[in-house]
Amino acid sequence: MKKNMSSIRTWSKKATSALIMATVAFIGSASDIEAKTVPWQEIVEQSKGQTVYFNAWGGSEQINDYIDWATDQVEKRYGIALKHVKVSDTSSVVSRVLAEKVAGRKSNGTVDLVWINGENFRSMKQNGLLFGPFAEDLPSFQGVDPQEKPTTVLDFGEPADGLEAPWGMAQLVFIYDTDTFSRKQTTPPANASELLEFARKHKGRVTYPLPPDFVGTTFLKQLLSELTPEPGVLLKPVSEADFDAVTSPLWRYLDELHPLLWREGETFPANNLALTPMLDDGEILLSMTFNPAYASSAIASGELPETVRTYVHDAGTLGNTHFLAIPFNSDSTEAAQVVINFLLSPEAQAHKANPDVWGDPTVLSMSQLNGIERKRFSNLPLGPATLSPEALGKVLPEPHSSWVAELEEAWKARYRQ
Amino acid sequence: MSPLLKSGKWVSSGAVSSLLALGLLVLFILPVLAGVGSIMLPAFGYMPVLGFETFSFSSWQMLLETPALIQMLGLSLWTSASSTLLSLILAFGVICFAWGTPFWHKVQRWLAPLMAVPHVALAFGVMFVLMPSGLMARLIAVFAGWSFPPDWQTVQDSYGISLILLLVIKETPFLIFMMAAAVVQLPVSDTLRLGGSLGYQSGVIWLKLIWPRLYPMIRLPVYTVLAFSISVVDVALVIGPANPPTFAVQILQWIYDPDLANSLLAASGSVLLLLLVVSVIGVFYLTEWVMSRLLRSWLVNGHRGRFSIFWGSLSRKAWHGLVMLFLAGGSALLVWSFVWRWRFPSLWPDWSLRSWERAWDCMSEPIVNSLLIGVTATLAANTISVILLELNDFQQQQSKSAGKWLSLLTRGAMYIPLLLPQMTFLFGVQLLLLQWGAEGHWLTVTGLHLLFVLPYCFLGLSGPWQHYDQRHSLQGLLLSRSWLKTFVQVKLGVLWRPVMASLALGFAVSIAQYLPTLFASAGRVETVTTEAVSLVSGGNRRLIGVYGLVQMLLPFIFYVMAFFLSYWTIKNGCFARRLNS
Repeated sequence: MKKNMSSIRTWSKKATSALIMATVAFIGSASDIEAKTVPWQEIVEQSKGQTVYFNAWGGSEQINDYIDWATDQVEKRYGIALKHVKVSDTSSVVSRVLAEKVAGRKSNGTVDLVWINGENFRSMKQNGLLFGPFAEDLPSFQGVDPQEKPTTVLDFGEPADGLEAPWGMAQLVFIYDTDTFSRKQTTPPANASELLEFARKHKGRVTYPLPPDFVGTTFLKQLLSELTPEPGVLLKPVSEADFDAVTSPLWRYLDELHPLLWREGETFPANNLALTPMLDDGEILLSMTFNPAYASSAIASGELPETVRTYVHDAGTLGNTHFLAIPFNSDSTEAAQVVINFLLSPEAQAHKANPDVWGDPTVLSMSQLNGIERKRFSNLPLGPATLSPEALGKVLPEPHSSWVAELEEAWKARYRQ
Repeated sequence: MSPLLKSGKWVSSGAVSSLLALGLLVLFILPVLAGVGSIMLPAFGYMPVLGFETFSFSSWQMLLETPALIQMLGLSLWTSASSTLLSLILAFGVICFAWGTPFWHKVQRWLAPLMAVPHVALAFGVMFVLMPSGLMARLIAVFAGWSFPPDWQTVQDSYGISLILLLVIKETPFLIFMMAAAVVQLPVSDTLRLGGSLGYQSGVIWLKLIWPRLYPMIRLPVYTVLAFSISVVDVALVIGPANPPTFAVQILQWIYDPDLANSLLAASGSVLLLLLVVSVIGVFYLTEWVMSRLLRSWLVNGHRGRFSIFWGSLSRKAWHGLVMLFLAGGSALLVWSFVWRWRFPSLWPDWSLRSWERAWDCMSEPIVNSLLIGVTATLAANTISVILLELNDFQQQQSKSAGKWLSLLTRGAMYIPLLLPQMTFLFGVQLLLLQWGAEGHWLTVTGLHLLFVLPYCFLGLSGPWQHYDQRHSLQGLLLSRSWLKTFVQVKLGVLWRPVMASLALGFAVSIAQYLPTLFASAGRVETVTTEAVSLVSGGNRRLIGVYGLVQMLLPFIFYVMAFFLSYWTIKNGCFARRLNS
């Protein structure tokens, strides 16, 4: 019955779409506005049987399992073959697509869908490497309210312009083990200067991920936001600021902090997930993550003890959104859009937000959803180590994405031995 | 050519066969040389494929301004030179104190598994043993009463000691294997008897009488070890220093930088890496030469030696330590793959099958890819090796000098991809693949694997082929009057065991390839090895345990199969022992 209905709907939509297409062809070149004019049902039809190579960071078991779940779903529902290409650094995907563009590979690109944000998005946008705009035409995008969550359309100060669709929310939180802390008779630091004191008290038990790792760089930006006298400057492009003057408090702070760190700050773990087993073993006392529910899901998967909790600095921590985008030379843009639309649907977002699955906060706004959809989210457990939205406190805005490269270069010049 | 032309029909077939052999060699060596060539122009600013169209030295300028460049180069140099020297000393120590004793059989038994285990899996295992919360620290913690892991720098230490240790575990068996192949060609037992009758201790006989003849025979394998360890990336990512990393790792990071100008930097870096390899090999060669001059009087000074026993027990202990670390690493992988919770300092984990259950679905595709690529590359490599060896043999029968010339040329060509730093020519090959749009297909990946699988298979088979007694084939030809029948039924029958061993070796080489897979696959063809390396960044030890173990088991299964097929065959539907086993 349902199938019949949908096929009738498809047929009528097809007819109208043909009409629209014909009109469009009259008015101007169809390819320019193709993404806007093709009705959704048409895109779904065309997506059937396409393969989507989804280049997404592959270091986390929970995330990989979630993408596996999505793979099964889009196969069943739309006949799309989703392939997770596990990359260890998203910047490598950007450089590959860029290289393909310069080499003249205008179609049949090796990447169909990429998990992205920040400076990688800016780089792809500036170099014209993205398909679209498409995001705001996706049916599921109706659940997004840019008023309530401005970072869903503003990526590190760079307008998304519909070239990427929001996938999940992130806020920097710190993780600690209450059991270890009570044995050591200590409390979590509430700001940058307390963190320095904490490191002095527990020499060799604090560290952060090696920049340019995403979380490592975020940690630097967090410190910078807290330490610099005028954090407002960070929201503008770095070229408009006096970099040395703005960042000098950060370097003074790090000069003091590094000798107190794990291995005396001579080396650093590769990324924030590498901190997890070290925290579990008590090799370090603090870990950090961009996903407020990560600690809860790590408890569920047995990677951390049930006694871990999360905390944020009193002045707030950096927050942002991560996105999905389609490279310009993908041959499966229809299927990629269908996959994104599915991943943005209340069902997929709620599954993702479950701390037993991944625990990634949703980009959807509850006010935009109907009762049943809202219930999917309100029924979710919060997770033992996840802070409530009130406890998460103030979200600090990300510095403009142009700060990232400069900060990383300056860090490397100072702290590579 | 002219003397060949005189003898009619045979000559033309001789010429055809040598042309065929040369053609195969050119086909094999072309991508390597093209790779090196295609990196040269970008290194000087010219890379039209990425939009850089003017020559400049700016990338060299950038290279020189790289923070900690000298440290990175020094690190690469130090880790490769010291690991090569240590492996060489250890391998020689084992050979000279074990040769002809029951201990030698024990050593031989461990060579195959040690050589077959992929570097990355071994690195994971060793990491699980040595890290501050690893097996070793847990054992000590029981007695010392630690409740938190010590602040040790036992893995990823900034001096690269853990990297050196790992390379020694991997390279010593390879050098022992190569030395053993060379030693059988020397009159060792006669020399030992003669030296012994003059009162020399056996260690001294090896050092003074056998080594000077042995070393030239293993010189090229030593250089390949040197070149490999300078440009190795996967192991350095797992267990090498991170801040700064070794130079090869830095080049990889440049290649994957979203700023395309860094591709030029990577190209210049690759050329610098090539220079580094050339100069290190040069220094090694010079040192050999100087040593052989300086030590000439020491060779004939008549000292019979004193510390033979000490050195003997030391190399025996070092070998045992090496095998123990390998076994402990393998067990650590096994244990971690079945762990639910295992916090420091506990010695006994909570068990669970969950990691295997969860990993299994995602693993099937990489496993299938690894098998497909490995089996194809191995079969192709062994077929080509046998054809080349047969053509060489044929030439040898036609004319001694031409045959010798061809076999030298073949051998030389085979060493080229092993002596050049992988990073340099593979980056070049990747640029070519990008231009042709040939990335991302499993056949492309197989082709690149072949560049490494073929040399090992060829070098492994060339010994047995040399020792083969041609009279068997002559007899066969007389009886069957068919070259093919003779080859299949007689020659392959006699050489069956080395061929099986070479198949297993080829597969093991293919499984371990990281950079060729990474560069040719564009991320689309995932193998167990690329998956395992990408897991490093996740720090999930249980998953690393699963992948490391699978990576370790795949080549092992092939070794067992090859071993079985060496001795057994299927006749009329049931197993029977092979004739010559």
